Amino acid sequence: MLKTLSELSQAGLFTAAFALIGWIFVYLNSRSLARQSEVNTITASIEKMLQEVADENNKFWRDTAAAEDHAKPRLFNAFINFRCDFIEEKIQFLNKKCESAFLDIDHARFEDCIIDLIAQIRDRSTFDSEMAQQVEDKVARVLEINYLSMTLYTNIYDFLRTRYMSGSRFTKAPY
Amino acid sequence: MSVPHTIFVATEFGDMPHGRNDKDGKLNGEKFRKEHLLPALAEHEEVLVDFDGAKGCGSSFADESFAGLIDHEGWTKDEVVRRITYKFRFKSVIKNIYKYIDEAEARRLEKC
Repeated sequence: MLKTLSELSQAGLFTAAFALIGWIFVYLNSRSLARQSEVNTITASIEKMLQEVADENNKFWRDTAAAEDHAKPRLFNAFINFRCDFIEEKIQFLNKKCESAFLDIDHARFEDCIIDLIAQIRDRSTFDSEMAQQVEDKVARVLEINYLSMTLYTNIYDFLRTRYMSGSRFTKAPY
Repeated sequence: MSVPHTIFVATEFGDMPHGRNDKDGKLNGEKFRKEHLLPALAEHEEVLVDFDGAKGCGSSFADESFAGLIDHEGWTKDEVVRRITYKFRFKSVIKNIYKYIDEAEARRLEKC
C-alpha cells in the first residue's frame, strides 16, 4: 500500500490532484461571486423601478387629470404596468439565480409573496385611474403604494440576506 | 374534461385592452364583456380568456369585464370562477382579476 502511494506520489499524481481540486474550488467560488454580483444588480434595478412607481403615483394622484383628458391615465397605466411587468420578470429571474443545493429556501413561497405585492401595487396604482377625479382616497393610495413598494423591497432584501448569509450569522430562513 | 373555448384577446378584441366603458376608449371592459365574453359563455360551458400577445390588461378593464358579470349581469362568483379561466404571463394580473371577482361577490351579497 505504502509502496503504491509512494509510486503515485513520485509520478506527481497527488500534485496534479491537488491542483485540480484547487482549480475547481476557485472556479466555483468565482462563479458564485459573479452570480451574487448579478443578483445585486437585478435587485438595484428593481429598487429603482419601485421608486419610479412610487414617484409616478405621487405625481399622478396629486395632479389629477381633467375628466376629458384620456391620454394621461392611459400613459400612467402604461408607465406602471410596464414597470410591474418588468419587476415580475426580474423576480422570476432572480429567484432562479438564487437556487442553491445547499440551502433549503422555499422559492415558490417567495415568488408567490412578491407576485401578491406586485398585484396590489398594480391594483392600488391604476384601479379607476380613468376617473381619478372621483376617487376619494388619493392620499391614502399614494401612502399605500409607498408602503407596498417598501414591503416588496424588504422582502427581496430578506430573501437575499437568507440566501447569501454569512456562516457566523446563520438564522432561520424567512422563506 | 371538456376543452374550453378560447378567446384570444389580442387578436379577437385588441392588443391594448383598457378602461371601463366607451368614455375611456374603444377597447374597454364593458365592450369586451358584452361583445365577446357573454356570447362565448352563451355558447360554451367553459371559456379561456387568453391575454398572451396583449400589451397589458388594465385593472379597470379587468374589473369591468369579469367582475362586471356579477355587478351588471346577475352572475355569481361560483359561476364566473367555474366557467372562466385566464391565461397571461403575468400572474399578478390574474391574481387581481380574482380579487375583483371576490369584491364584486361581496357587493352582490351585501345587496341581497
